Amino acid sequence: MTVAPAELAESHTKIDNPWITVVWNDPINLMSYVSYVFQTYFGYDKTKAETLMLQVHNAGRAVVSAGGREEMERDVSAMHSYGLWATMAKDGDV
Amino acid sequence: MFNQSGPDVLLDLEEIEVELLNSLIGQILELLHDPEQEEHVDPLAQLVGLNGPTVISQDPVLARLFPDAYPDDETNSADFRRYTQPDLQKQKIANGHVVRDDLAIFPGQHAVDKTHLNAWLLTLNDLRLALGTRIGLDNETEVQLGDESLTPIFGIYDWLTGLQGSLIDVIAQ
Repeated sequence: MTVAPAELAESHTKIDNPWITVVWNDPINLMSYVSYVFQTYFGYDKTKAETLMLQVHNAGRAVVSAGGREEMERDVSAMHSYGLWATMAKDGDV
Repeated sequence: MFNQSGPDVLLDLEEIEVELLNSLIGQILELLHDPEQEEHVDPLAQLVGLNGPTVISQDPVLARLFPDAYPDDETNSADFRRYTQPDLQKQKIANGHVVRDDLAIFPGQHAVDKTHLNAWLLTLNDLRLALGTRIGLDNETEVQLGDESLTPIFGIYDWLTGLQGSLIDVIAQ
């Protein structure tokens, strides 16, 4: 049986990025600030940073990065240093 | 407020605003030193960098500044907190000191060292988180607008929001 390329790509992502960083909405952090943090820390371009920020604002949370566990602990700690409310989880748990 | 003037970032503060910032920073520095934690430092644990707290603070401001990293997982949250919180606390204290030292040349309009702007941004955010949490903005419940004792705090909070917003406008360009 041949595995479709799309399925391959997905399983590859899951193995490489088993953990995710989630940023939660809060009523204090400014939208412009959250967008600035995503650009500065993750190096995301303005469009991606604003899309994620709006997802946090409208959906209540957004997955902002994915990777190994230590890497995600670094990202969560960095988000805390900026005052963003971030948690981590195994991909699929959230 | 902050504004860009050619290559410089200028900040304009009145005397009462300088006093207010100094007072608020003093309060948050006191909170971050947390004498409760300092009394129980194990010298060996401190040597290997394991001297951080393991449970989320009972103080709502500290709980907001240092939230649990693993929802519904106390063990992993405790380990994470023990490793990360002391460094985060030190960063916040260092940022507060940078801002407080810069305030020494105010009131008036002065250029702020560009390498200090990140410390300003993060300190203003910490102050808004602390104040916003104290007046109950964090839990998105209806704030008691009838409580007149809170009116000055709302005024201060709004002013900090404007100040931080003006800084973001300058640095996010």
